[in-house]
Amino acid sequence: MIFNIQKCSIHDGTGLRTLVFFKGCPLRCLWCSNPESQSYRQEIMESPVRCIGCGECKRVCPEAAILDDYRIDRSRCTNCFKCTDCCYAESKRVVGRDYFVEELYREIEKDRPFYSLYGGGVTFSGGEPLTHAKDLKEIAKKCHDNGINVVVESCGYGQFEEFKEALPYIDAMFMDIKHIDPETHKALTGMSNELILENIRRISEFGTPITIRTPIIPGYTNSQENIKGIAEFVSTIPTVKEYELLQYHNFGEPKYTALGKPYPLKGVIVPEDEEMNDLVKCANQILQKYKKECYWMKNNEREVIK
Amino acid sequence: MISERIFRLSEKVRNTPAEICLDRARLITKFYSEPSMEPFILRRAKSFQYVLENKKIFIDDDSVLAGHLASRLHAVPIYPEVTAWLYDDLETIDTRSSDHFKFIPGEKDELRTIVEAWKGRTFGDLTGALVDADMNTMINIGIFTKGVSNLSTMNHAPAYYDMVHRGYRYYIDKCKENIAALEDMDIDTMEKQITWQSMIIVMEAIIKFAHRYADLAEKMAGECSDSERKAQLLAMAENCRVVPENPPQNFQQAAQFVWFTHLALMMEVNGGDHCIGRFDQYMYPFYKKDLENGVSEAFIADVIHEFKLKFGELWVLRTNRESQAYPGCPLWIHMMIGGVLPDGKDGCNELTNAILHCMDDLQTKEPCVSFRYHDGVNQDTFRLALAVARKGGSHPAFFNDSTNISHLLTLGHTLKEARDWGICGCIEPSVPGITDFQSNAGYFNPIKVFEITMNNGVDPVTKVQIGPRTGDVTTFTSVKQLMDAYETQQAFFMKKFIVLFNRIISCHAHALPTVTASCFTYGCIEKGRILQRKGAEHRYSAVAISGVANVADSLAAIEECVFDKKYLTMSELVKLLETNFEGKENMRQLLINKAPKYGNNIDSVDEYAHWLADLCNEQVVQYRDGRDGQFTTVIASQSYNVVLGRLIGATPDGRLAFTDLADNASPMIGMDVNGPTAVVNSISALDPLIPQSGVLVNQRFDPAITKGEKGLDILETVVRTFFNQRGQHIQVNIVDDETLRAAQKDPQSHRNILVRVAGYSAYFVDLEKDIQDNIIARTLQQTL
Repeated sequence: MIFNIQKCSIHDGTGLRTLVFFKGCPLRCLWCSNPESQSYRQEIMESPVRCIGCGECKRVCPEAAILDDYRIDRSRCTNCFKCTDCCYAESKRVVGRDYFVEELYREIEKDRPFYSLYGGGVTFSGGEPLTHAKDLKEIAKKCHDNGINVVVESCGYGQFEEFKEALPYIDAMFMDIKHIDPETHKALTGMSNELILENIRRISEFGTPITIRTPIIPGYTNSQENIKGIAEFVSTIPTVKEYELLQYHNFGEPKYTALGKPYPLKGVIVPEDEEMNDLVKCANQILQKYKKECYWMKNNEREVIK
Repeated sequence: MISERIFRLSEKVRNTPAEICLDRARLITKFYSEPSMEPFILRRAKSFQYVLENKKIFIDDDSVLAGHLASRLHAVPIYPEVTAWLYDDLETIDTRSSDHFKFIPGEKDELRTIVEAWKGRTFGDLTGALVDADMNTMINIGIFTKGVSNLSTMNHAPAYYDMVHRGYRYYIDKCKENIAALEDMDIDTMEKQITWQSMIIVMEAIIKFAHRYADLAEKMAGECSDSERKAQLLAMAENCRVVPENPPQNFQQAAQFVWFTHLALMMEVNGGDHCIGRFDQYMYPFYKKDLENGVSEAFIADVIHEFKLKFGELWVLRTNRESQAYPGCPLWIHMMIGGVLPDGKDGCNELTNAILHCMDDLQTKEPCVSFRYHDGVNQDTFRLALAVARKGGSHPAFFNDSTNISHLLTLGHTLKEARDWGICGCIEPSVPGITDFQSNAGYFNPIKVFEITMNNGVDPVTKVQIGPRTGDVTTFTSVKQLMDAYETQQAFFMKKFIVLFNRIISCHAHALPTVTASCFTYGCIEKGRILQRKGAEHRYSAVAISGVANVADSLAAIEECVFDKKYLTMSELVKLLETNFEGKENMRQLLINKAPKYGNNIDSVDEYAHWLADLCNEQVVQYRDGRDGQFTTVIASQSYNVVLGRLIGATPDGRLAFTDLADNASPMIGMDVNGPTAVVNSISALDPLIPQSGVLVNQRFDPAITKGEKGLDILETVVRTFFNQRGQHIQVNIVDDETLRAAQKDPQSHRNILVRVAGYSAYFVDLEKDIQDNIIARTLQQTL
């Protein structure tokens, strides 16, 4: 299941890219900026600004789950999608759609003319693409066989035996390590990091070039020990040449409201550029001797502090 | 960095409010008050001579190039003998909302007297009398506009590439030789003699006009105590003695030469979209020679800046309606740079780069700098051009050599001619120096025709049966039936449109010649014929097609919602349109959201855009224009999408009555929700090889993807890919904080703005206000 296809993207791989977001993820990171990507099923997202107040949803809802302001009472909602069917303004819409591989490929293929310059291609993101192993393999193979560069963004949590079939068709990966300490990792994401670190090792052994990423969430992942720990790990992985730190942003917050969920990180503020620089420097002190590099992106330029 | 002198000049141009100058109006009225039996061409030549001899001139304290359009900085002349509308629009010239001009106290009354004297006798009255009653209705209800009826040829592209090596004296001598060679006189040779005499009068008058500036500069130098300024004035005087009579000897003189010629085109008669041509090519020898002679790059840059500011100072007075359609007084004076040479090699040179660097330092309103792209374009120069466009002002615009050259080949040019193309009008290719081109045959408005088709030939706004009866659409059972009915309606209106234009263009030949332009367009001197009387070998006129997206989206909405998914019946749809969706907003949302929209790279709707573009073109090119020239189409609206939108009721694409239409070849406002790559793919699907005068594309880019070298890679990727897919023109606009603020207030029209951060995506309008504010703050910060 796919929850979004975003064209003309540049932040996730080389050149101009088409981003395909898989729906469904085993982790529950507190800061997740795509909460609609977590569930493996279709969900209803609400966008009150689009509501025209026609009241149709309220009339058709069999569970009386539509409140007076036309918001959904999620405790009553059974996801029957009657309200989204009649919401022509798309104030309530279904998020998540199944594609046939051919159909998805045709959508990716439309942007092929843009890929040839500066190494563009398709990036599978999510959710967690590795947990959609069979679909990922098929679409990645189709793209790869047709000469389209394939990148996968992953949190690393999946069954190697299942997704290894996809690896031959993946040109590069972005893999997250949110925290180096297994216990903290579990507290922040719901899962320990052992499987993730193991998968990174095995994918690297397979030969896939990997960029490791860590989201810098103030109060959660931004300690120097964490970054140093990850950098130490990174230094041992042969196909990792780069380590990128991602600056936290709160743009995901409205999506929680749209899904009728609380935002766990309310009040957390965006880390200062200076802090990003310090952490990058910290990582590079370790990585330098291994000819690996840590950076963060500011205005589409790499900030590398050594 | 710009010099202090250029900074002062720029500030002056920007901060001087535009004013009306009555100088020309007085002189021309006085001239025509003297009785005469002279042939009209000779009379026009002499009227212009009279203006040039008597108009007030001045030299600005900071200028080194001489010549202004009017008697004061940033003032506009009046053409009372041409513009019939002045009678109706005069009262609000100084108060209207768009492009208003101040009067010197008392001069408004004086102008009223002048206009009264011309009432009923102007060129506009001559063309106005040729508009039949039904055509008038068609204009008033928004089916089409009436082009060039109150001006003469507005798109001159002189042969500067030869002129700068010859000087006017060469052309005067040619005319004299031709007259001397005349033996027997008949009515045709008489016309030739009159034409050559008129040309000589005009060229001599422009030379004398330059000498007046030389005299003034010398006088001012004599009174000047500042040695640097004195030297500048003396150089200026020298330049004005040399050019335009003789070939210029250096870069500054060449710039002065072009400027005097351009000014003459604009002062002789109104109509301002004249092309400067391939400036980086014909100026290059002067640039190179100057550098060899020790002239500094900085000096040349200052000349380029001042030259551009001269054009930036040019404004014209338009009608009230046009002032809304073209707010900010664009004149589309194109300066071409880059592109292939006649031998197929890349033409980018050091001067191309110097011009781009000048733009980087200082953007001016005019000229429109237009960059010609081709596969083998110098990569560094192309990247520089993209970087300059990204910085703001959306200039240079980018044009594709291969598509434009292909257009000109199909219009009968040789390959070498076609490779020397320039732009006249907004995006229309033509070959300078050998072409008589009309960029404004008028705007034809398919969505209005569509509205009339939906009402069986009746205009629902005025209830007039204006078109043929093509059937009650509520009985239609397929989109095909509707398209057939539309085709019949459009053919009917297109014929009216063409007939009207041909009447008007014939008036040009019999009453309003442009003598200056005739001197410098090949064919005219050779044949002894004025441009408007078939002087040039190559003649074509462009019909502008607006609102393509609205028709495509309407057809797709009807196909999907009425015939395919049967959400509603055709009768219900007609009722919704009649009532402007009153109380039925949900049905409007249905039409918007449940049907595909042009601009998202969806074949089922893009095909309708292609169908329409092709149909318009087929119906247009079957006709010949009044000068036995060809007709072309151009997909462009400028801001007429706003003006025409006010005349059109609700449409099946969910557009509310009397609101804006889609602009140019763009998707309907806010409907392209898949980013720039999808838009350019949709436009490619429309097939830019069909409209021989171009497809106008203004593409908006999110600042988040265009920052830095990587952002430039993306711009380059989109432009190159679009051009590989036959794109003809693209302008790069970066979304600014102003747009984002507008999106906060009006989410519906801005639902296409994406917020992009690694691994995340959302539409801006879906975010909460404080997050939106945060993004605006970031945008601001990034652009600083």
